[in-house]
Parts: sequence; structure tokens; C-alpha cells
Amino acid sequence: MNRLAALAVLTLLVGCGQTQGAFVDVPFAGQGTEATAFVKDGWEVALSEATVGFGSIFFCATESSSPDRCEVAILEFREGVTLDGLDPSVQPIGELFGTTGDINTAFFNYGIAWLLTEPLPKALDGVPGGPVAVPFESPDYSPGGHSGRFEGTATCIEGPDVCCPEGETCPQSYRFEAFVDVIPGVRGEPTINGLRTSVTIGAEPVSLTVTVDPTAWWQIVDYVRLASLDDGSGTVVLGPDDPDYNAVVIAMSGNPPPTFTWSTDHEVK
Amino acid sequence: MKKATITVLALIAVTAVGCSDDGDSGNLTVVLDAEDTIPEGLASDPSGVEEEAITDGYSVQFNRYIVSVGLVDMAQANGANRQQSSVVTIADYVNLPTTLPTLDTFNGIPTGQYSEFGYDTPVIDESVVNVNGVSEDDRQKMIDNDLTYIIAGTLSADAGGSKEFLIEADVPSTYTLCGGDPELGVNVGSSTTARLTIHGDHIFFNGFPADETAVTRLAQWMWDVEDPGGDGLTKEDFIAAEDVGSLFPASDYFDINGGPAGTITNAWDFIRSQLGTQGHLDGEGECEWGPI
Repeated sequence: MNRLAALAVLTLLVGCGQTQGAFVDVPFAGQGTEATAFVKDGWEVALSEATVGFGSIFFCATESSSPDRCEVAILEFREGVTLDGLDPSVQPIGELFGTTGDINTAFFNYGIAWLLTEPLPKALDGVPGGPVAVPFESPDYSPGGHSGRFEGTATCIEGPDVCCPEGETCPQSYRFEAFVDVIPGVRGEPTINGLRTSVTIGAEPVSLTVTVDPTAWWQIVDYVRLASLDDGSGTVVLGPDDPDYNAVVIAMSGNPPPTFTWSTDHEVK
Repeated sequence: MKKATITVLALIAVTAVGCSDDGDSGNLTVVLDAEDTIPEGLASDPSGVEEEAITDGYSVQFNRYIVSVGLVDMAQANGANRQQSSVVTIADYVNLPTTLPTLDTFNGIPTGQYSEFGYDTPVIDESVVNVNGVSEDDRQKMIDNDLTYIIAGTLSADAGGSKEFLIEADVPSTYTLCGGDPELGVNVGSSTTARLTIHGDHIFFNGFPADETAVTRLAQWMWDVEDPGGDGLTKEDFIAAEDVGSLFPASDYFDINGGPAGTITNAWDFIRSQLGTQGHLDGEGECEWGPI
């Protein structure tokens, strides 16, 4: 193609609103939120462990929550990582790779992805391990890793009539624990689609910190009901058939969602 | 100097040919359209073979499905030749005339692809056009309460029994970049029709996927909402249904916070979020949705 023809094509593209981005690497880190006890229905609750599987993640120009409108991501990180969800210090992850451009949405997984080339969702390397938690279409299926591992303690601080209004017995305190899997619903699509975040990736270096708040996720749980599940062992294990397990999955997908903090500081602190 | 001028003109011509229309004028008629699920209801088919059927043992019939639709806004690439309509309608989509009532016409507009095509399901005022005899009570209720949907129906269980439900919802929404088969929007020629299709089944979807063929339709959640008054499910009952972990189990539902209403804390949030995605173009053409 001669120079004039090339210029004509370039002019055509510019005229139609397309732009060519330059390749960039964006430092990427995770961050937890310090565990704080909260009171719900007479129970004082505190998490002691919140290990969160995170990734892959794609940042897109579209304002839509439809992955169909993001055929090419501006930035992406295809690996899985484990974050300490209760550690408020910055935990370096790696680098997002992509091009310059305007970002409006994020599409991501909690460590379990369903690629078009896979018959079922699979956990990415690097996410929390542990025993099988979620049966998916087949009782023998396991994604091979988890979106989160949580432990905590609930202590009754307002008396049995408040903590266990319908229970014959009421534990003073019990532990709860769960391996939680947040599974993509559609092959080829991430679990969480179209979470809003706006930044322009240009010539100036930027970095990204994603922050999760597991304590907020667990505020949705019905601790009165969990107390009724304590068989005297002092420990309640939540599985995928439990409504409060499902409530935590729903919370992880958006109540609250992770927050994305874009910084113009090149180094992720 | 002369050669440079010719080159620039050639480049401008290439750009114009690549992005714009041919200068002719055409006509577009925009009509209202209901997905079959509204007049025909949703059947029960646990096998999942029948299209748009509920798979967990329930069927649904709608008695009223009133929606506000209007404010068409369209343009060619890069906002060129923008056309707008201020017309807002209400219609009961259960009884929409098969001839498809006209919302508005655009005559003598430039032909070509209007790739930016959208419309709203807006809050209405006294200027609203009542398309097919929506009752005065319902019309005034929508105006007074900023409602965009009034849906009344019956949920029937295969195992026996039924529940009435009434959804009076304020979900003002905007739909943009509609279409996509094969191109976004509407290709206006000498005589073109665009159908603003309202879908009726999204409140039974198990998520917000980009491709509706990936959806499963479930109604157990609505059956599980308690009706303490025994007079049918209403907004108050749906708001009181806060046990989202039981209503929407993670094994069946996906990314339910991913809709336009955001975080789901009760069944009413779920209804509002799903209703905010029901606008389509020409049947199944998807739109980008967002709250107004």
C-alpha cells in the first residue's frame, strides 16, 4: 500500500470514530478491608479468615454490561490470584496488559472462569484450594479451586430470646466456615459483567488497586438461622445448598462489589 | 499546491463514502410490538425444550401488561442526521392490535443506516398517548406514581394452586444502540418499519446474560414470596421478601446484581432490575439498557 492509500485508510478510520491505541502495562494490586465486628440480630460477628480468589479481569470501553459489546478489552489480566480479604495493606498482583483508551466497565471472575473452549467452569491456577464445594450439573464436578474461603465467629450478646427467638437451645457462640464458589453462568462470559469504573489510559502512567470487603458481604447472613444449625459441635459449615451460602455468593457479586482505584502514581504502594 | 488540494478532497470523499448515506430521503414508521410471552403467557416445560417456557414447574398468564414507551432517538454514525420523537405512549401489551399501532413516523429523512437507535420507557404525564384503551384509573395511577409498568397476572403451579400478582413499578429506563442483526439500528429506505418490542418474561430470567438463549426461566422465587393477606402478591410483599439467598440460589442464578437496578436486597429489587432490560428492537434485537 502506498503512502497515499495508507493515509486514505487512516483518514477513513478516523472519520468513522476508530482509534489505534498504544500498548501499555498497568501495575495491578489487590487490597482487603480490615476486619471489624458487627452486630446483627443480637449476634456480634467477626470474620477471622477471608481468602478471596480473584481474576481473570477485563476492562472495556463499552458502557454496556453485555460482554458482546466488548470484543476487545482495553486492559486485561487473565490469571487467578489469592487475596487476603481482611488485610488492608496493598497486595501486589502483577500487571494489566493492553492499550491506551477510555475504560468504562469491568468484567471479571472470582477465580473461576468458563472459557469457550471448556465444557464446564474451571478454577484458575493461583486461587484458593480446598475440598469440593459446588455440584454443577454433575455431582462429580469440581472447578478445582474456590472463589473464597471464609471463617468467623458469632457470639450472642443480647440473650437467647433475641439470638434464638424460636430455638429450644441457643449456643453462646459458634464458629462458621465456608468454601464459596462464584460460578459463571454462561460459557464464554465472565461472572460479573459491566461493573462501572471510568479511567482514561493514556500516556501518563497509572496503576490500579482493587479492594474487596468480605465483612460487608457477610452482613447479609442470617445468624439466627445459622445458630439453629449448630449441632453442638460449635461449628457450622455452610455448603452450596444453604440459603446463606447463596446469600454470600450474591453479595460477592455486588453487595458491595469490589472497588477500583486508579492512581496516577506509577508504583503501587 | 493544487495536487495537495486534490489529495485532501479525495480523502474527504473517501471518508464521506465510508461513513454516511447516499443523500436520498426515506420514510420510517415506528410501531409498538409485544413479545409473544405477553399475550400468550409463559408455559411450563420442565424439559426445557419449548422456547420461552418456565422450567421449574410453573406457568404464567398476564391479564394486564401496561408499559410506557416513547421518546425515540436515532442517528447515523457519529450522531449524523439525528432524528427524535417526543411522543410517549401507554398501551396494554396483552391486547396490542395485531396491526401494530404506530408510535410515530419520520418522513423525508436521509436514508441509510441509523446505527444509533434508541427509545425510553419513561415516566408519563398528561400528554401521554393512550394507544388501546388503558383504563383511566391505570393511566392516572401511572402519572401520579411515576409508574412505567403495571403488570397483573396469575402464577400457576404444575403441582396445583395458583397465586395472583400485581406489579406496579417505577422503572424509567433508556434503551440505546438497539439492534445488531446484522447491523446496529435501522436501515431506513423508501418505506421502513421499526418495531419497538417489549419483552414480557425477564422477571423470570435467572440472570442478565447478553444472549437470551442462554437464559433459564424460573418462577419458584415468586411462588416462595409470602402473601400474608392472601389477596395476591403486591409490591409490599415483594419488598418484604428479603431472603435473597433462598429466593435466588447460586446454583440457578448468576450475577443478579448485574442489572440496571444494581444490588438486589429483596424480590422487588430483582423485579425492577429485570423490567429495566425488556426493551428490544424488531423482536430480539438487543439494546443497551440503563436507568433514566
